[in-house]
Amino acid sequence: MKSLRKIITRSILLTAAIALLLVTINLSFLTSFMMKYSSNQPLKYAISDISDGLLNSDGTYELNSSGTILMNKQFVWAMLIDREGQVIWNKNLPEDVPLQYTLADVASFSRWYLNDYPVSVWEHPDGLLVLGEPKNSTWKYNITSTENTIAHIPGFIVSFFFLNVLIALALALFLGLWLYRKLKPLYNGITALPKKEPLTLPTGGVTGEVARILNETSVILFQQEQQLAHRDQARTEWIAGVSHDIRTPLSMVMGYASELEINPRLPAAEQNQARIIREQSQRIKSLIDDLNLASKLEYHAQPMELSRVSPAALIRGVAVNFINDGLTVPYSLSVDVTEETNSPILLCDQALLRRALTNLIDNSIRHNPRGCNITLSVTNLTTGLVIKVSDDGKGYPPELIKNSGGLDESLLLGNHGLGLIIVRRIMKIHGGKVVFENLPDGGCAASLVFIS
Amino acid sequence: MKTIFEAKLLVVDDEPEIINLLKTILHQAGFAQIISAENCQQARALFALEKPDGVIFDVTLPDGDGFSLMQELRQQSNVPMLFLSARDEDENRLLGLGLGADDYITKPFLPRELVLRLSGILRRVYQPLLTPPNQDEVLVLGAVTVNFKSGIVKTGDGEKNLTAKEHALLKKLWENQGNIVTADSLCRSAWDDDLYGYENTLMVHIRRLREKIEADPSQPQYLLTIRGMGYKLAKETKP
Repeated sequence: MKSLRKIITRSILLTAAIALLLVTINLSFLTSFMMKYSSNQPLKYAISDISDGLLNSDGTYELNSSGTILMNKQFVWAMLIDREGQVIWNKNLPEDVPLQYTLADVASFSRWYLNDYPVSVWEHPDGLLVLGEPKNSTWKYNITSTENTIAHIPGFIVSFFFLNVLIALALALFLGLWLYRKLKPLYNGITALPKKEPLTLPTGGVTGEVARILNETSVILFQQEQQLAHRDQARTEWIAGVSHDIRTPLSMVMGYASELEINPRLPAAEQNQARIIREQSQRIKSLIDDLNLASKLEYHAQPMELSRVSPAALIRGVAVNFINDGLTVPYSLSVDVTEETNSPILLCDQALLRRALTNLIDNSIRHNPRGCNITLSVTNLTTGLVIKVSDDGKGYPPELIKNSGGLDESLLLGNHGLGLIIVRRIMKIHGGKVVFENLPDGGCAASLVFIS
Repeated sequence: MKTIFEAKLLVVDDEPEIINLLKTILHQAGFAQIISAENCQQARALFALEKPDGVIFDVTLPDGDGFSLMQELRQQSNVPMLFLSARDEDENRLLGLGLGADDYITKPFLPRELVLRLSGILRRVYQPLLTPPNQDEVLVLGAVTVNFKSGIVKTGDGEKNLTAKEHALLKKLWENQGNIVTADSLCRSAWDDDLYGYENTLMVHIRRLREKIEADPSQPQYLLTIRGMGYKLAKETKP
C-alpha cells in the first residue's frame, strides 16, 4: 500500500506543479503583453513636442518640420482652438469636424471621440491643440478608480495567484484521492497474486476490465499452484511408497546375510561375503532413508518442529554420539564453543540439524579413509549464527566449491549419496544456507549459516 | 520364567517370509517359544489363548493396522510390545510410541539390533521379578566403592556421603560408564534444566565428586573431563 500511496502523492504534487507553472506562464504572458502594447500608445511628450512645434509668427500659425514629422507618425489632422472655442489653426482638418466648440463639446471630446475621430488634446499657449487619428483606429477607455483600490492591486494579484494554486492543489488532491480509491483494490489484487489464491475483485467502474483480468490471472495461478503441489505430493508419496516396498525384501537380505556372517559352519571367505552383502544392504537402507528425507524436504512434506536450543549443546550431543559409537583413531572429533552459545539462541528443528551435522561428519570420515581431525564449532556473529564442521583432510573437489552456491545440486551428489544435498535442503527450510570451502592450510569446512 | 529367554513371544506380520526370518533370528538368540499370526484376527485369538510375554507387531496388516491392534491388546495387558515396521516416518514412530509401545524398529533391521532392543525391554520388565530385589547398586572404582542405594562412598580412609546432586551426577555417569556424557545431559539429570547458567555449578560439583572418589582429585583416573563435550566415567583403571 505504501508504493501506491507514493504514486498517488507524486501524481498530486506533479499536477499541482503543472497548475502552478500554467498560472505563472499566464501571468508573465499577460504582463509582457501589457508592457508591449502600452508602449505603442502616443506618448505625452510626443504631443507636447508637437504643441511646442506650433509657432505663432505674427498671427499666423505654422507647424515646424519636426512637429510635422511627429504628427504624421500617428495623427491625420490637427487643430488649435482658442479660448473662445474658435478654430484658429488647422491641418488636414476633415470636413465633418466643426470649427466652433462650446466648453461642453471640449469636455466631451477631450475624453472620448470627436465625430468618431479618436482625438488627443494638449494645452497650447494660445488655446487647446487637438490632434485627430483616423476613425476606428484607437479604442479609448477611461479608468476611474479610488486610491484605495489602486493600493490593493498588488495584494489582489498575490491573492489571485495563491487562490489559483489552492484550487489547483485541491483539484489535484481530489483527483488523486479518487484515483487512489479506484486503484486500491487493483493494487491489493496485484500484491496478493504471489499468494496464489483466487481473487474476487469487483469488476465494475473504470478499473473493471483490469480487475477482471487480474481475477482470471489469479485463478490460473491458483490452478497451476495446485497442480504443482499435487505433483509434488504425488512424487513424495511415490518415493515413500517405493521405499516402503523395498524395506521388506531388504529386511530379508539384511537379516539372512547377518545370520550367515556369524554362522560358524561357513568358511571365513563365505562369512566375509555375507558381511559384504549385509554392509551393502545397510547402505541401500540409508540411501532409501536419504532419498525419502531429501524428497520430503524439497517438497515441504517434512513437518518442522521448531524449538529454541543451545547450539553448543546441539553440537556436543552430535560429537558425543559419534565418539560413543566408537569413532577412534585415525579419526578425532573436537568441539570448540564459547560459553555464550550455551544459551538457547537457535530456533531450529533439532532432529533435522542433528541429521545435517551427522551427514557432514560422515562426509569427512568417508572422504578421508586415512583419517582426519574433525572440529565442530559455533560462532555467534551479528549477521547470524554459524555452525562449522571442519577437518584437516583432503578437502572438497574444486567443482563443488565453485558450484555450492548455485542451484545445481547434481555436484553435491558426488558419488556418495544424498548427504550434502540433505544438508543443503535442511538449511534451506531453516531460511539459512550451507557454505562449503577449502581451508588455506588444507582440509575443508562446511558452515551452516543461520540468518538472524 | 527363570530367564528372559523363556519368555513366550508373539510375532504379528502379514509376510510369512518375515515371520520365518524373525523366528530364525530369535531362535538363534536363544528365545525358545515363538508363536506367530498373519493378521489381526489371528493375533487377537493367540493373544487371548497363549498369553505371550512380549509381542512384535507389523503396522500394515491385511485386516487392520498394527496401531489399533496394539492399542486394543494394551488395554488387556502390560506385556512389552514393539513395532517392526516398513513405515519410517517420524509421525508413525511417534504415534506408535505414543500409543504405549515399548519401541519402534524400522525395516530393514539388523538382527543383532532387534535382539538387543527386545532383550533390553524384556529385561527391564521381567528382571526385577527374576532377580532377588535386595541386590545393591554398587560401583567399584579401584579401592573406592560407591553404593548408590545408601549414597555412601567407601575409601581406604573411611566413608563419605554423596549429596543429592553428586548422587544424580555420578549415577548418570555410571549408567553410561565408558561413554562420554555431555555436560548438558548431566545438568538435566541433576538440575532438570539446560546447562546455560549452570556451567560453574556443574564444575564445582564435579570437583567435589572427584574429592570423594579419586585418589588424586587434581589428576583424576576415573572421572575424566572431555574438553568441550562433557565427562566420562572410565571403565577400568589405567595401569
